[in-house]
Amino acid sequence: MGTRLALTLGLLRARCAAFVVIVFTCVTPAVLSAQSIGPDNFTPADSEQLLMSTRRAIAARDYASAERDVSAALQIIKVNDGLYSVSQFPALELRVMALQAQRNWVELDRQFAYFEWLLRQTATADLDAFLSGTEVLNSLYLAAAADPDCPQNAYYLIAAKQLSWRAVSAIEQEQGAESLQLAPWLYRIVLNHYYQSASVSRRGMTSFDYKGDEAHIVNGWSLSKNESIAQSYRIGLELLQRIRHLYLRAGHNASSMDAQLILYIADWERLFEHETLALEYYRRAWHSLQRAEPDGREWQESLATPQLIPASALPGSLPPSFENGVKFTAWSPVFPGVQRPHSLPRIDLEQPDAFTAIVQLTGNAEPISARILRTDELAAGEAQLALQSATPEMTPELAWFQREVELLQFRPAIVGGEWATAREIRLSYSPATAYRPGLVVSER
Amino acid sequence: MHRRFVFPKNLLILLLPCWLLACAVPEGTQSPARRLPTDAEVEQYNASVAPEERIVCREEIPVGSNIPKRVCRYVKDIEETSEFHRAQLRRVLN
Repeated sequence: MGTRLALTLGLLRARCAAFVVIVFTCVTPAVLSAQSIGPDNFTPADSEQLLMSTRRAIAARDYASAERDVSAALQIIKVNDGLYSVSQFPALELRVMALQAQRNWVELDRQFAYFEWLLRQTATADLDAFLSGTEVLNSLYLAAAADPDCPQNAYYLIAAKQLSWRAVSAIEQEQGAESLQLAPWLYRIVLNHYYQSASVSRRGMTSFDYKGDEAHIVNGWSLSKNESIAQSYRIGLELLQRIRHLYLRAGHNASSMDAQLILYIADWERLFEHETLALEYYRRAWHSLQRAEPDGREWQESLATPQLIPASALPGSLPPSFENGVKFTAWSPVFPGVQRPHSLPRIDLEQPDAFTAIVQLTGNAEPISARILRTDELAAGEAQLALQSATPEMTPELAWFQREVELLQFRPAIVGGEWATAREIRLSYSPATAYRPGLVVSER
Repeated sequence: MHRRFVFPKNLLILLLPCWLLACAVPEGTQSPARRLPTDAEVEQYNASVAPEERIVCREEIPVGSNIPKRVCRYVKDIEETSEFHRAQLRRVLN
């Protein structure tokens, strides 16, 4: 009996030992290999690979995978570079793009708040990094503001503007109020006010005086449509004059730069329909260009062709010629008639079948305007809107196209210091979304 | 015999406008502290402060006048005033 018991216990022990050995030899490698598949939080190179796979996923429109990969990349960056590290900016940009593409507005808002918090930590430590991050976040805000499905367009537009103002304050604090580095940021704010006025003029009363950081519009001081537009005009004009003052202080008074900035002021007056003031500034700019060095004459010649306004950046090189025409890429139905900003992140949210069309407009434009003539005048035979070509091979509804083009605003042709009658404007037009017959376009 | 000097009346009439002009304060010499901020300055300020510290400026026509006057107020003061008026109205209606 005792022997049998001992034998049984011995067999049991042997089986247990064998079981443990089997488990140890089979399971452990599987566990180790499973651990080696995922990214290692302590290997910075993994974050680069994850960011590359995020970009590929975004290009392939696999936004869920993109969000997953970029979240892992962010984790690695935080572990290796610190919670306040500015190396998070590229990853945050991709994450915001993925969230916006998935229409995840709640999480998008959280990411924006986190980005703002990170910028605040950077503001006093490293101005260049702060400005670089601010530029990225500014573009992301504008992209969200322009998204027709976004429930907070105005909120993000205002947030972009306030971000630019904080950049201005940071530069003033570090480099003084006369720094030329202020100019591009001030111009961003000018453009922001143009977007606001374009939206307000077509959408009626809008509250632009948020009393808090709440996403919803708080009651109280809502500016009327006219008040809001007038305020945008005043601020834009003040900032353009300030930009001109900055360049004059930097010694640009004899160059074409000053004349070009006067042109910008003239454009601003024209955008807000102050035609007399605009003409006065155009004349002044023309005469300044006659004396300007080194490329004043070239600029004078380029003024003979109507140009779209407002310009998307401060004056620099000569405006690109487009076979005696202009090129326009519509931004968004949220901002009708507004050119797409160059700085927007490359999110392919547009419909795949967007098209461009070259339209030749003939007829007598008014002597003080380069606007496209209305449909009733077309019927009277005074002008023709002739669609020359369109790719892909589609024929848009003429009335829809007419309305879209009428929203555009031009600097008129200036010859000899006076407005010239525009005979032909060749326009290449890329709509923001695929053309849909019967698309409702907001009227002025 | 002493002769008393009498200021010529015509000269007084000529000099009076000059004295009045000398008393006027040219606009540009007002101290910066008394000048109301421009719209751009208000925007820059509001972007950098907490929500309750923001200010709003607008043109208002005071009662009894046709001349608009620029008025700036703190947002929190507007809210307090609005709440006070709403409370008064509720009290009257009830």
